[in-house]
Amino acid sequence: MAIDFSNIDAIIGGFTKVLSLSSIGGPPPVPTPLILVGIPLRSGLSPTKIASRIIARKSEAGLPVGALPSGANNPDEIMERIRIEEIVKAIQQDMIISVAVPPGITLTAAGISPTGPVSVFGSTITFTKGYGVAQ
Amino acid sequence: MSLADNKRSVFTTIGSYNSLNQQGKSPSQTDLYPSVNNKNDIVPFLLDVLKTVAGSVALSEAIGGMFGSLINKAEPQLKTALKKQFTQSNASEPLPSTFNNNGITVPVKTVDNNGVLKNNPNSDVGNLTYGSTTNFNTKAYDAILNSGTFVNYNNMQIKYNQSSDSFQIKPAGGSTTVGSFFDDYIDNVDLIDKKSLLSNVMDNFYGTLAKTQGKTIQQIYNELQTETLLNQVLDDDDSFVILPEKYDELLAKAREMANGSVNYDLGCGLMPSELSLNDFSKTVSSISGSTDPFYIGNQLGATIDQSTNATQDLTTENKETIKDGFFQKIIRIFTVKMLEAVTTTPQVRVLFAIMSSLQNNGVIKLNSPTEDMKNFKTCIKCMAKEIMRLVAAFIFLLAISYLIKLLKPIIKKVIKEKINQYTGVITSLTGANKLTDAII
Repeated sequence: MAIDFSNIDAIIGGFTKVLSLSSIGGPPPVPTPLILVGIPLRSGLSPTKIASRIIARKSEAGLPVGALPSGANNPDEIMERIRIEEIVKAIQQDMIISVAVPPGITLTAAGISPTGPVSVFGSTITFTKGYGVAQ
Repeated sequence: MSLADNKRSVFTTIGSYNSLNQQGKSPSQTDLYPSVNNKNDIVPFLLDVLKTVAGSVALSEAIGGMFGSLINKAEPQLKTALKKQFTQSNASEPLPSTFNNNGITVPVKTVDNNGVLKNNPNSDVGNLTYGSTTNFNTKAYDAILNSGTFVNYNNMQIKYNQSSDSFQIKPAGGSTTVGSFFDDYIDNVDLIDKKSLLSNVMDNFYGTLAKTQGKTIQQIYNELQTETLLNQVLDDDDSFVILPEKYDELLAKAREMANGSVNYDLGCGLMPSELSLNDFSKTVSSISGSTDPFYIGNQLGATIDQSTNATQDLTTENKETIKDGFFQKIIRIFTVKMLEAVTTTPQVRVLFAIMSSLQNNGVIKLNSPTEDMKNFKTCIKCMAKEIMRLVAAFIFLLAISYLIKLLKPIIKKVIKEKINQYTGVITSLTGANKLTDAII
């Protein structure tokens, strides 16, 4: 890490680099066949399931779980459900998922030409964009 | 949803937007650290980071490390920087015969601005300010004792003339060109003496030596002006002009130093601080012989307790605040005294005198140090930049070492988190999680 110690920006940059923990790196990619096979098996997002898991873990933060001593519903838990419902709703209904496919994807195509059936082997040469929806 | 629900939704949504609007702007952040808003304050910013990461103990280690290892590491780098400043267009020219034969004659007071040579090296004060027995100051003092006789020092010969209170300094032979003369001198000079640097830093804080030597207020006032200008250069202000309102402040400090008791605002009001010569000498001697940053830091911190003994009602918290302020201030003084050591001490003033003579056909254009700074502006600015760079690098590396200690458990946690996340994704895609849920 070569830093110009007479330059405040370079010094701040040095600290920022260490603090960003960028050296940890990202996880390895998930194998594509596993994604294709595994995604249909997933149950999708459920606000109720998420809210119940959060409420169940309240004790980890030292908070009581369940109804108030008066017997009334705990407004904090109600609020938790509402919060998750709204977040999941936004993810499912408002979120935009864009997929960028780089060029260089190998392909095998079959078609027909005036001289008869043809097979094409090659790779894509353009960037491709796709959309997705979270469920 | 029913029609009523839809209508209700309109009102509640409007209500929520109103609520968000009424929240207004978030309060602006207040900065606990003044270094955030001081644009170019590199060292104060680094000290704030250091303190945030590791607390007061890190400040103590920083100052200990500066007096311990930084001085030793800095010397060769500062020599290289100084040599560059003395490599002028006449570097390849042979030394003029008049210089070889007669050298230069310069008044002692022009070379020795702070009156170091007025003390006997074996006196209590001399023991703290002279440094090694083979450095320029000691040899110059030998020349004074043996008036009229040349004394060898480095690649020079020094002769004291009592009637004119001046030194005649000429080459001892060996160097052929102007450039090699300066290079040889700088290579073999003791640029920074740890003990005398430490004494100067401590004296600036407590005024112990100034009082013991019986320095006049005017003399201390002049020295403080030089120090202020160097301080300004370290802050990128090369105007070499002291603001009028600053003079009163310097005069007040000169008076306090002459009395051996200096008042400081170290974060919780003005504190008088004074240290007896005995305690002063003990601290300097024990620190200058050590390279352990924690020991040095603790010894310096202990002087604060000794110096504020007379002040009643100091809580532990106040003492810690005072110590933090003391360490931050002493780091600043250390930086200025480092710059002084390579620009205004006798062994460097001699170089300026020789350079001035060689550039002006034997005429030495040296006056008071405050005036000379303007003539040697480039050199002083470059040395200031080099010292700031060294100090900043030292504190930065210390802060990073503490930061790595702080981040190590967090990095472990993040790595574990990533492994768990990846495992979770894989098991959810294979359906293994459902199997696990079913078993549980």
